[in-house]
Amino acid sequence: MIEVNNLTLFGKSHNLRLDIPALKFYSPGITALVGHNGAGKSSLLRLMSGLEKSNTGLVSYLGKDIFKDFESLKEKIHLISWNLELYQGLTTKDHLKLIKSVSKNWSVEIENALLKDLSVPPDKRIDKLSRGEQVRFRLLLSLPRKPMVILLDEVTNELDTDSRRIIFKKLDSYSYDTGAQVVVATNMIEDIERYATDIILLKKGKVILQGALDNIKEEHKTNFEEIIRIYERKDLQL
Amino acid sequence: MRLQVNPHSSIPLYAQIVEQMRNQILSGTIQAGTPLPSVREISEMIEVNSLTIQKALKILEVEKFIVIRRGVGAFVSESINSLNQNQKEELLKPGLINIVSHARELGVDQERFHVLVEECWSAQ
Repeated sequence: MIEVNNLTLFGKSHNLRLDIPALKFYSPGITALVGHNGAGKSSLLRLMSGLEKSNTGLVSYLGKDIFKDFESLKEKIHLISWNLELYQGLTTKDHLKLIKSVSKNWSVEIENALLKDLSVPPDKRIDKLSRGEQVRFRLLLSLPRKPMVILLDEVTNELDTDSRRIIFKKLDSYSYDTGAQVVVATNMIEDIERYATDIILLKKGKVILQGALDNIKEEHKTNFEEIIRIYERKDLQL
Repeated sequence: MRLQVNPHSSIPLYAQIVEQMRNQILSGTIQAGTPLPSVREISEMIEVNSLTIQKALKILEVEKFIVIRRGVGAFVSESINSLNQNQKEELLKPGLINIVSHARELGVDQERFHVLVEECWSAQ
């Protein structure tokens, strides 16, 4: 389980980019991280993946500091982001082989299931893949290494419905089978309504709504889109 | 079994699934003893999170509509069809009470309410 405590992150001009007193991610499940551009979604995911250090506070996985213990945790926590490049010149086949050769606990069983369902071109150069194929390929590189936390930084936003469905179905079944926690930064309402178990709504670096989607709907007696609208409209009470 | 969920509704998905399965079991559309698809199969079929399906099945198990046998799967409870007419009607009451009080709030009188029920009945 990932926990965030007393977290702050400042930008270059000392502006406050994130201010999160406490946040807990329960597994298994899919948490949707929602908010406008600049709300802090990517920053939070980078902190959760251990790639970036917060100014104050702590992000921990099972009690371990994710930034300090990055080396021991990087196999457990995967970030899928357009900012992290693949080797553009390699083919999917060679890239897969490369990752397999450096992975300690590669699951052939998961790999085979993914090869069957993801329809990734078996031998195509990475820079020739479509966006949807790239995301599906990244799942193929990630899930057989059996991560316990998978963070997706808005990689599904511009994909067509079919591609998104395939990706969410895989994330869902992987999470259900292994107990892994999935956190998806996305603004695609339909994906959230179908596949998210939990919601975190960020606004200007602060969490303004958090909880199980079912509970939030029951509490507000309205649909998800309307709930987001209500909260986005509210002025932050500081 | 036929499930059709509306993710955009204000009603949580698990509640929609519970409601539809309960109705199909009570009406006999799904018969006693029928094996149900697995959580993953239902999730794949209606394209919603597996935990949502699991939650719905657990509620149906607690309500004794289905029996879940570990490692085997879920089945429609054998005792359901033995419900007599009175018991089936009892199960309708909570929903009816809701609708009646809603009608009262909206100022619909008893006579009009009966007409509306007739209309809906023949429309289905």
